[in-house]
Amino acid sequence: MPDLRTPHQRHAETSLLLPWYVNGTLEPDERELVETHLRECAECAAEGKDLRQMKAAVVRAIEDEPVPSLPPLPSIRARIEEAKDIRFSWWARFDSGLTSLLQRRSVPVLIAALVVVQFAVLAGLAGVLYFGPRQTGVEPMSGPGVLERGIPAPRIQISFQPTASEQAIRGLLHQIHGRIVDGPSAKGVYRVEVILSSGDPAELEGLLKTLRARTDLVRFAERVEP
Amino acid sequence: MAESRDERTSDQALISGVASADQVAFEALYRRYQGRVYRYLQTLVQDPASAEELVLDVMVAVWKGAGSFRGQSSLSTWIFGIARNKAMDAIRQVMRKQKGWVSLEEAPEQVDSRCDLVAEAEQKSVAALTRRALATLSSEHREVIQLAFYDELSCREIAEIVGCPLNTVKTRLFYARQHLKKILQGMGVGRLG
Repeated sequence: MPDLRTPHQRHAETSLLLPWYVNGTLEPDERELVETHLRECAECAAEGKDLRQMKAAVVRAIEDEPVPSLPPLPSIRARIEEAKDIRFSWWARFDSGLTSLLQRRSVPVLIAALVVVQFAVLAGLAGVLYFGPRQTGVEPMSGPGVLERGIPAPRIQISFQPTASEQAIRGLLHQIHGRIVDGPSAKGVYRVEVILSSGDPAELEGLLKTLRARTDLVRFAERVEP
Repeated sequence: MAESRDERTSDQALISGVASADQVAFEALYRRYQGRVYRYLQTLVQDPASAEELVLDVMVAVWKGAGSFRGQSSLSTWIFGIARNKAMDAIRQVMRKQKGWVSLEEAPEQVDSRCDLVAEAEQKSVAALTRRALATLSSEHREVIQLAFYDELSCREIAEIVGCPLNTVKTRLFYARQHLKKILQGMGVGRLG
């Protein structure tokens, strides 16, 4: 089929396609268009040469920037184990069971049965909530309730080491009588409210020093100015 | 030099292994993509510590979602798409926090410390100038330049990752490279050889 584009259109299109000509990912018809145009347009040929140099410079610029030590595999494995337990235990069984049930002819009966079972479960849960024992002693990821004591509680911002376990963090928060009130931010920074035994600013400084000394758990700890 | 098993195994074989909960395949995939994913995330969030954390999120999402990968796009396109979503979530989160919270820029310098002497030495090289020039571009422009020039993705693949029509990607890269060229010329880099 003849190419009906005007020379101006071919020039504009080539100009847009040049980066992908340079990175070698154009479709054959696009590549042919670009190569044909480059033979007859000095401006685009020069632009193509510039782009090759720009590409090389960008690659060098990005590769020269060192990649820091990325999250170690064990920390990913820990999260994976969590996901794996979910994926390959109850969910997988539920999913495959449901799929096989829905492939049978007795689907309407099964749906009716499910509705009845669901109603029974909800009624049972309501009964447990109403008549059952009240749950106490739920422990949030914090130390003792700070605000309830009516004592001024300064705030600090703190970032934990990626390797710090939840248990260790809980222990540390308990030790400093702190509780997380916000976070984590995208940088993994938490805001923690701490309770002091006196109003002495030196006590807070001492506490921050203690936290900073725990380099196994804490990346940094800073006071948040009120 | 003999190729390792990791290098020989195709992306498709690796992701199939991951979908079957093969941790060896996952480790190979992690090694193959961690650097590229980190660099892409760093381009988007412009913060090494956040980029590091996001790499972890991305790889966990890859593990969880491997079974849903249908091969309609390349594996790299799929992984970069996940990375982009994670980065956008993180950026939104930071923007929300900044409205009513201490700016994260005020966080201690340990988070993003750089040695002045190293920076000074780097400034002398074209690579360092290019890096500085890239940093002045908008996130959208930096992203398409990196995906096209560094990751060598096709226009279609980039369009899938950034969620834009093909023509938008073409014009975005056109303006991005014009802008980069202008900045480099302003820095005294005439030819990029």
